[in-house]
Amino acid sequence: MSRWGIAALTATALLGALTLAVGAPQLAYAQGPEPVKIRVETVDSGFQCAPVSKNCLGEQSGDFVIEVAQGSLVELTFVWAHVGYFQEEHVMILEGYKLETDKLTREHPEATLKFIADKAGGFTFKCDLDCDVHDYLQRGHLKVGRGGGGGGAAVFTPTALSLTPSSWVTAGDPVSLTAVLKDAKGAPVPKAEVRFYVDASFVGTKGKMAIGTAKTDANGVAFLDYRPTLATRQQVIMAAFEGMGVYAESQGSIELQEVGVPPAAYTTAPIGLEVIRHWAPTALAAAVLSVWSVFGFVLYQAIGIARVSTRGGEK
Amino acid sequence: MDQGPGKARVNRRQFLKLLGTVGAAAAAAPLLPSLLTKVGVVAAQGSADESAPRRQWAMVFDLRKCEGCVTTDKPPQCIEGCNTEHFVPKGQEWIRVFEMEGAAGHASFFPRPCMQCENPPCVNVCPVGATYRTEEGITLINHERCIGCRMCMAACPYGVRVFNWGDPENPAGATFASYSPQYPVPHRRGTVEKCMLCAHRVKDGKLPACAEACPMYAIYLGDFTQDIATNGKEVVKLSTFLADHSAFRLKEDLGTRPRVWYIPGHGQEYGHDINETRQPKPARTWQELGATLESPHGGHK
Amino acid sequence: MNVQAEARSERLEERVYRPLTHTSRGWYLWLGLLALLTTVGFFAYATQLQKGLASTGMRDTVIWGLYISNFVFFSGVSMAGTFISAILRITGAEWRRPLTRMSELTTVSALLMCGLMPMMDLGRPDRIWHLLRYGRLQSPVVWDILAITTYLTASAIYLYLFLIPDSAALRDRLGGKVSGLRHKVYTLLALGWQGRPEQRRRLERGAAVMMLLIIPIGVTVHSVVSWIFGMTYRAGWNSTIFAPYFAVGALYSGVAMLIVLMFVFRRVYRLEEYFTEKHFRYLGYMLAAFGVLYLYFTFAEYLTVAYKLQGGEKLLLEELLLGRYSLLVWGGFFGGQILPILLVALPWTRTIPVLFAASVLVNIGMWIKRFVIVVPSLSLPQLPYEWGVYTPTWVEMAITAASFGGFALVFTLFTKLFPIISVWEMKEGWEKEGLRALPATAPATGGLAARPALLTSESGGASHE
Repeated sequence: MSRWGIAALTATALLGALTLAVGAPQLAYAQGPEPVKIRVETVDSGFQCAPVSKNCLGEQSGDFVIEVAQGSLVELTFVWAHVGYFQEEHVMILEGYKLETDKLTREHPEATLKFIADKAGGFTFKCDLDCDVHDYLQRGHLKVGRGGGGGGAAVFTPTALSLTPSSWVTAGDPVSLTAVLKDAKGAPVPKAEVRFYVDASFVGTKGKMAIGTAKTDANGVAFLDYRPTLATRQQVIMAAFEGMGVYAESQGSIELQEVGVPPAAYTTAPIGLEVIRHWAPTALAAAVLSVWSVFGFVLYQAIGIARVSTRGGEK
Repeated sequence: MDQGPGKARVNRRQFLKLLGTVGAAAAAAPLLPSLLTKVGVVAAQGSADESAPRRQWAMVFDLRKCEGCVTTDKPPQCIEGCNTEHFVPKGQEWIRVFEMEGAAGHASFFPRPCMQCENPPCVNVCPVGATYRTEEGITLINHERCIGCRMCMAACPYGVRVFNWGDPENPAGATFASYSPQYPVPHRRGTVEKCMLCAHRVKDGKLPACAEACPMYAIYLGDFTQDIATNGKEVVKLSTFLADHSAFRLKEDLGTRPRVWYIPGHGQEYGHDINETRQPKPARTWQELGATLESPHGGHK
Repeated sequence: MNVQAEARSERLEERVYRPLTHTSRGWYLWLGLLALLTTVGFFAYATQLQKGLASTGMRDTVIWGLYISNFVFFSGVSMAGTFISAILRITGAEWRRPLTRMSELTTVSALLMCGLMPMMDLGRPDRIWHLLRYGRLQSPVVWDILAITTYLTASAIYLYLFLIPDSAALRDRLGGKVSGLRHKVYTLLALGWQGRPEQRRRLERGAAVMMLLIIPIGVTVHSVVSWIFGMTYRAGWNSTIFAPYFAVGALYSGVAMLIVLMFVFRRVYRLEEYFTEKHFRYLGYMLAAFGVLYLYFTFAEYLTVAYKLQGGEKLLLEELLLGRYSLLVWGGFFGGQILPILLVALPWTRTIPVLFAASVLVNIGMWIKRFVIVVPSLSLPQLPYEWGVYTPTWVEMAITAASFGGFALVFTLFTKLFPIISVWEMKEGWEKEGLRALPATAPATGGLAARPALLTSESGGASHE
């Protein structure tokens, strides 16, 4: 009954406050320490350090290991260097930091990951796409040692995340949300995971309810279709970007105003055999009543016996 | 026969007619109320707030967080919370925690409230309609109508229902407390009881007693209409939460369509080891916990 | 011929009317015993009302026990009347004539006890009127109530219809020998029966309709009783063949109860001339036939479960066949199903006392079977809890004993008021025999029409002293 109906969704776009660098307004990306450069070649047998260095250790008892200190700025370059397997194309991913390279092919043999190793621990990097036989061979281990190494941790680049609903919305349809992520210089940040939240309150607990995630494309734009289900008129939607170990975390938020109550996100499915279930009790009642009416007929016969005797006079 | 023919005829005929009528009425009488209910003359039980969208309650048990309270050195808090909230009669547990053996032989703890089925066998078989399902999805019992035939107990595939075999002990002052199916205090002899998703609490916008008592925040209350759920600490989108974590329901193949979901796990988020052999302690009754009508939780959380 | 027929009639009436006018000391002793049983039962029920169902052995896992077992048992016994009276009447089996009233009475008495048992089992008997006010047609319990009341009414009407001519005979013959009140009762029940053709027509019309109707009603009752269990998800109950299973079981236990009662009345009232060896043999054949049919159903039920061994069914089957219920199950099987069939099948064991013993075994075995259907499926928990334990208390056992006492009490009191053999039907049968034996020179007793006549007032009046 209460749908979007006649009322259209009007999005009063109040663009909230935007980015915030963590800490002081230090901006200089270029003023940071020297990046640790590691080159890894993808060869037929897996990975190969090119060259072997104190950071790129190579095969260590079965594992291909590279090592950096926590907080250092890392440039990890993959180089396509197959002797055979000319048709192979790879996309390398670094787990934990959730980074991925562009596609490595024979024609485009180099791709670099730039990040700040702010998370300590062990992380796997591997071929994620079109790996074929190299699915197992191209696996490596990144060790990030605890404690800061070298002088001064690298500083994160601030980013700007702006969030808007899509320019045209149709009543009853989900709202399209657009998030644009740019770095300090205004260049778009691709392949960044943007999470979307809405402020929600339920039985006394308030919190940010995750409504979806989307990855930015080459232009730094992430799209998400959001179907509002909460019964509140005003909904504050927030988009957040965690930084990928390269950038500062950033957020953006907008407010949506809904007119009318959204349709229920859930309708209980019918149990089944509805017609039969509807008519069965009546059928049963009819059967029982007809049996009892037969009893009535039989008793009427008995009455008839009595009446015959009295009609015939005395015994 | 000394009576005149006319008089005798009337007597006999009346007598036999009466027999037939009484018999027919006796057969028709039980049919009449159910026909009436279909037409909607009998008022539906339960409250309705027409302005807000109708909620559809659900519960989610995150078994990754439930470790049967064995590491807390206390009995399972969900059971004790429920016991004190409703003054659950001695010998009954409306939510039970038992150990399920996983396929790999590991143990996981499994709290089991009433499943609040969408196609509840208990409601289907009740001869007097004492148990019924509200439009918000909670199955309630009207203890003033229950005749104690226990057909619902036979029909429930999860064994959630319990019975007041004797006179249940009620807290002081309960006799004068206003009874409602949503908050069945005082308890009555010869009637069936079960978990009712704390209908009186969720109506007021509060978490069920078990969810509030759980120290691991493993119990979520959800609403399918708004697609939202919370355990008191975080708020999640219910559909994503269930799908992302491969939630399942108990005895799904029976077609009862429960509203209680479980996220598979064995308490690993609180360090429950699969080789853990400690058993949960027996839960205490409301009498032992010192609950009263004024302070149900008697000082215990 | 006439004299022989008259003598035969006189002998029958003398034998069968004797209990109505003479009460032996044995009867008083027996009545005393039954009264004691029922009194203990009342006392037990009073205890149960006072303390609630906590005075029984039932608890949250095994929620039904002796009361529901008795309920199913008595509903099974009630099939007897339908079968003998209706089916044998329709098929024209003449040997049924001495048995009809006893079997109809068995049905009525069993149904009375059957309807009583769930009332004993209710947690809130003060709310029994809720069934009328709030009854839901979707519930198997309500189907039960409708079916049993319908069957009870049908059986009562059926019993009464065939009682009318005998009531008339009693009204005419026992004038001076019974109290005025009793005479008035006979007169009232006789509905002014004088054996007139118009009355006969009406009686036959009513009887024919009831005969046909009562068979499906009887089958319905047993199906509905089985659906109390069959409509649940429990292991051992969730079976599609429960309805015919229970119906066949009812035929089996009903015929067995008939043989038992026949033996008892034959002894007690000296009715050897009427409950002959032929009756025992024929009923014995039926017992064996139904026994084999019941074996078939049992086998089909267990085989389909045992082959798959699904979940709870596996656990239940293990407990039934190998575990704590195995003694009951195998004892009931061999003692209550195999042995009686053998005893009937083997010619040298097919004697009246042995048939009586076999029937007693059948009844005991069928009661055990009912118990084995109700309790083990309940003691198996629905989720991995502990198994439930059920130990009946004295309250339940006393009420069970009282229900059997009540069953016997109905017979005991009835035979003081009405003949246990339907006299006019016997006479009707003899007349048919006589007509068949002497086709052309049939001496006309007053009122004989071309087709066999029911008892006429003149032949009844002729023997009036």
